Amino acid sequence: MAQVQPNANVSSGGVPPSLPESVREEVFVIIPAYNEGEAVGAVIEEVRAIYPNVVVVDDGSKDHSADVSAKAGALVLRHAINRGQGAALQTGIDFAIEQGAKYIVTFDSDGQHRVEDIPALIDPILNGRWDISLGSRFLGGVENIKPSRKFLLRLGVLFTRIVSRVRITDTHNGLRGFSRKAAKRIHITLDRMAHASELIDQVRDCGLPYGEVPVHIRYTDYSKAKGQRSTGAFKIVFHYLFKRMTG
Amino acid sequence: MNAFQWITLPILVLLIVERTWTLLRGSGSRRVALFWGLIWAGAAVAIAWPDLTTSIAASVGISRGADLAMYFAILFGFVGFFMIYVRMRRLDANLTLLVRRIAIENPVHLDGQPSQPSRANASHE
Ligand SMILES: Nc1nc2c(ncn2[C@@H]2O[C@H](COP(=O)(O)OP(=O)(O)OP(=O)(O)O)[C@@H](O)[C@H]2O)c(=O)[nH]1
Ligand SMILES: [Mg+2]
Repeated sequence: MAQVQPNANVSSGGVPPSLPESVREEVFVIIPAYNEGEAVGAVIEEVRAIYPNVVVVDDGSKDHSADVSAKAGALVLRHAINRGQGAALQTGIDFAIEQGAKYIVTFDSDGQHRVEDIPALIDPILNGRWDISLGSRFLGGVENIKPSRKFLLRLGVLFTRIVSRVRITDTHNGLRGFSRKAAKRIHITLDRMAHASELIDQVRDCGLPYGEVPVHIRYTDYSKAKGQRSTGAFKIVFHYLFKRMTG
Repeated sequence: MNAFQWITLPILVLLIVERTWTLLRGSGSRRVALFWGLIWAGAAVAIAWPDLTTSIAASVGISRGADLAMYFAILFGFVGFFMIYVRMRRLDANLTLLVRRIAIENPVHLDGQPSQPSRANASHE
């Protein structure tokens, strides 16, 4: 089996708080949304104030997520039926590449991510330090997280270290940045939540440098109610390992 | 031959002929045809010569031939289940590709108006 990779690169401060306008216009922020009508509008407005290209992938929501998103000024791609977060992210990535995006950021629709963290994701890519920025709440900060969720996330990190041989500090963080070149090498096939592990394998194998960026995640009562159940972890591990075995 | 054999053997022979035919013509998946062909052939042999299963069972330490047949049935049940699961996954993946294609070709912005993506900023002439 492959050697465990050394600790991933980590970006260390010194990032300007904002990006030049010419760069901001080349960033596409992909926001997957499934029944997030209550939260997604505010999230989009906050992102759009700074990054004009916001793509919401409405994953067959049963609520008004799509209308809210369009009204808030996002370009909305609609999955006719629910296909899962992994599928939605890949849809957004394909679209952004088609639209000529130079930088692609993935961002949650439940209000857990901060717009202020985006420059730190793009900066190392812009400066040619690496092509893929993986957000880490354990290098940055996390508000209001339940101990059980923290424990589970730590298990995910350990699992990744053992099974994927990649040493990073937060494997299940949806806040990530890609260069165009890197995004073209990402092909998520695990439609649901197991895509996070698949993605890390692709990041490891894509032949481009990557690194971790400290970010801040805030759990709110809303996001905790909507978020993942801990028992979902079994399903995720099963989907991922099944894919690894059958190819 | 007893009545049970009279009923089941012709059916099995027909199934085997059909599978062989598929295999020879090369239509459909050869692996799947082989899988089912072997199952039907095994069943036919076991029904035609029931004593054979008993002696095979005895040689591996199982007392009754019927038990051996039962174990095989369960085993093949699992294999069949696995094959269907794999196929379901593939169907799922294809469905996603279809849903994705439709989504990308029909981007929507502002109050549900469809827009040409390349002209997203210039739609109000
Ligand atoms: N497209 C799509 N997005 C989803 C689906 N489920 C969740 N999401 C979105 O993915 C983002 C993250 O989902 P969460 O369920 O909060 O997952 P998480 O943030 O990894 O987990 P928590 O720690 O529980 O918050 C949110 O923007 C959700 O709207 C889905 O089935 N399809
Ligand atoms: Mg969440």
